[in-house]
Amino acid sequence: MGINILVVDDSSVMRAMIIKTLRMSSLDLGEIQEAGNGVEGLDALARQWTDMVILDINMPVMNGEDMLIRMRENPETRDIPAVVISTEGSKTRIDRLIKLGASFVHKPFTPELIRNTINQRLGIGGDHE
Amino acid sequence: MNEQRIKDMARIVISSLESLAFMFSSLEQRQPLDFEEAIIGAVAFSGEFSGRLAIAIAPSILSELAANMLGIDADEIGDVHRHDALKETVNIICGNWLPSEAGTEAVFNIGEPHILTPSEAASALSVKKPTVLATMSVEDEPCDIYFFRDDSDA
Repeated sequence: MGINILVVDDSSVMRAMIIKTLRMSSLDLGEIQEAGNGVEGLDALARQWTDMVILDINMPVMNGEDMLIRMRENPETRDIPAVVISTEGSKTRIDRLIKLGASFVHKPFTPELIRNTINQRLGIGGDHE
Repeated sequence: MNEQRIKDMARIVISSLESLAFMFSSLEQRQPLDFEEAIIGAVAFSGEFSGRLAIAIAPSILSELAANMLGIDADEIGDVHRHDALKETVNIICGNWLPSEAGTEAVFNIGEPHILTPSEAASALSVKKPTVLATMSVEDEPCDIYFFRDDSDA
């Protein structure tokens, strides 16, 4: 059974870039869901089992940090690995995200960096940066 | 205008476009693009200080940018793709620029990027001297980066 991944980003281009990178990776993918903000992301998590969440920070309606906080408060979603992919440059905010259990990848990213970060979070073998 | 800031901005643009779309860019000395001849994307931010960043780019290169970002053929690219690609590029360059301007401890909220009409661009980008204006080329086509700090008269 493949890995179900939820991609949460308000930019349709960025979602497409991330999904393209996922499909190019050697990951055994299941269903890839998309959401445009944190509220849509939480709705998607409530509807379907998800193995990993990839999310942006700056989004309308509900940002990625608030979505992560809500995920960690809910026993059903608190242990889902999360990877934040963002332009965020503030060390203060990045530290807060890491304390919430997220890995951080800075935009622009390379496909290798995304693949290695996901492998690392899922405990899959391979090279890690 | 501080030459070092222009070079710093160019370095971020060069690196971002290479990573995002495998496209080569460089600084060049010329007059900025006429807004009527450009597609303009802009984003506002607030936090340590407020301001905005805008990119005015030749339409001819925008299809290639979008196609490379999305990994699809240029002839499949429509206006929505072009505009979304420019908005995401503006977002990424702004996000990477702010720490070099304010340091990594500063926290900013970056708004939603949007496309400006030429008249909106004239109002937004011409009434005040930019804090940084980098005139660049992307794959030999013109591309101008405007950065404004609200607390600065440049």
